Amino acid sequence: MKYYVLRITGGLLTIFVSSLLVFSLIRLIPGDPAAELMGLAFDPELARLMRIRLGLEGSFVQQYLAWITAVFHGDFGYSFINGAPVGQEIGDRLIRTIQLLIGGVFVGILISIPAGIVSAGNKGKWQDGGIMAFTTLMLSIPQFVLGIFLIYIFAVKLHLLPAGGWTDPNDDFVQWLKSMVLPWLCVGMAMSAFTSRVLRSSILDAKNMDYTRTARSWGLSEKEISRKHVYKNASAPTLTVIGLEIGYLLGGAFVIENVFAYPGIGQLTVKAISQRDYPMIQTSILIFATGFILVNLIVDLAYGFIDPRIRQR
Amino acid sequence: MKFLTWWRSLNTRIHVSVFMLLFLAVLSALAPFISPFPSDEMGTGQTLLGPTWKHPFGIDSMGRDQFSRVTEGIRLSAFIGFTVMSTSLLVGVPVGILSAYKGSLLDSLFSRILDLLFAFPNLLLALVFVTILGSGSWTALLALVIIYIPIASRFVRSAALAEKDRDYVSAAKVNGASTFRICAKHILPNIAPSLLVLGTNIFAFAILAEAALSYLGVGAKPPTPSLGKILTENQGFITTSSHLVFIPAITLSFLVLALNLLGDGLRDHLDPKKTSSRYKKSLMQLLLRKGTATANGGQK
Repeated sequence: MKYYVLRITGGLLTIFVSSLLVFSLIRLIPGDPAAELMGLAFDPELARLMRIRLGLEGSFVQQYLAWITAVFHGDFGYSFINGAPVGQEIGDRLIRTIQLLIGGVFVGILISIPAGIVSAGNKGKWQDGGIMAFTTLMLSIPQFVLGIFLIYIFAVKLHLLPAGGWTDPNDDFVQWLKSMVLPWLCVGMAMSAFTSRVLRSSILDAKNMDYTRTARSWGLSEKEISRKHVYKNASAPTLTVIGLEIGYLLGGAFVIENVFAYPGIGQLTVKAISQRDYPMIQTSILIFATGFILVNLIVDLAYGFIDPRIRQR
Repeated sequence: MKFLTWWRSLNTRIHVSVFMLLFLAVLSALAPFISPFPSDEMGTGQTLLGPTWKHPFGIDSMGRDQFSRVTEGIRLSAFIGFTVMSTSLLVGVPVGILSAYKGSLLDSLFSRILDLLFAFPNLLLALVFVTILGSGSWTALLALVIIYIPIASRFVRSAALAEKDRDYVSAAKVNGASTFRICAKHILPNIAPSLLVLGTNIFAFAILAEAALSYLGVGAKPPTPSLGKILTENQGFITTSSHLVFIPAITLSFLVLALNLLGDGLRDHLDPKKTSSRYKKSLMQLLLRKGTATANGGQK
């Protein structure tokens, strides 16, 4: 129990501190954002009003409290570029990014579990060599290069799938599925490289353990040993790594969404950064950081649940 | 003769990666002699030209010689990888060792700060720095240095933690060695092999990160021929002139592949005892790549 309480408090604390960091971000940028926004049409009175609207008036603590209260009320401010409410825009895109990540992680698991089991089961044979070579390759190819290759093969040469974009599943489900295949594959393949390596290593580690030898001396069949002892023990570290990978993919979302012109939150963030749309940047970074911390927290909790030894520390 | 024996003792992965890196080094060193065009000179020939003897990698949409751009890109990547690696090790090694050896207040303060930094995915962290500092090659480099210093320190710290209670450290202490002497002359040489592996990995990941930032348009500014930037510029021509996309894409992957192979090879070569479990080895690599580590430094 103490373990869970500690972890959850730690997670919440990190979210709080990162919100402080995100908040300081806009204030760390050299120069006056209001003046920068107005450019040549600078007017001191208007600038003051703009600073009020941006929440830049008053002491740091007052500003932070005002901002965090607004955030809790779902008010994330307004975009500098088109004046649209930030919360609305981000909400729509967040759902699409979640679609991308969940599907991608699912594909990644579908690839890595058989790959890990086959390569561990055939250690040193050609299957193992092939899978390991594939994972090394996948680790070296940047995600955007992988995405470009996929687009070239499936969209440019074979004309099977769209090269990018996103279709609303409510309008056309088949088209949606088609538009999701390449991004999912890109996320999944990138993720499978590490996951299958870790699964292979943990299966091999578990095979050398005393409990496996004991099980063998009891005369259990190899199949039963694998199922009841090896795979079960190899699953805990693999799960941690999958969780860590999801966190990593949150960072990778920026790249993948840009390759496939996918209208998710990562693409929005990059656009907002190049346009210096501070309310948008502030909110999307807060969302990414919160998501990342939550995923790590869930991993820690799940790990404690699977492996009771962790809770004792 | 001595060199040959030593060379034979290395494993295949190191051999292959050294040849791959040598190939890239020779290619980019000889580039000015193979193709005399500066990387930003426009109008060197017909735009979107395919590979010819005069322009081995073709010409891009703005009439620039692609071979000069790609080889310049290799040099830029190598420069960024090397700078990030050396800076993060120069700062990370003393900080990591001291914080492990001295422990107590310094260590816990240091760990808390790192936990906070690790609360962000590293690409996001780089984007945050770029937002504050403004985009460009130098800010991208600075952002990567800021990100990799804590990662390096964290790994040095966990490597040094494993050493600090060993007998040789106690013996040195009994002999009256100073903290500096113990850290520099006793702990450092013993963790040097892992530092080599760490350095290679940081080198590779820094190259990947810089390429990603440039690809997103917040890294190198035109006309700087960063490999990521070249890809964004040419991606629109993938249907008609795919070589403009594939050559930089393959070059970048080839470079990172060589470094990853070198890292893997070194790790196996330098850890002949095979003490650490396989799982921990692969986990360490993941944590490095992710730029994150759990509170206990991945030692779950």
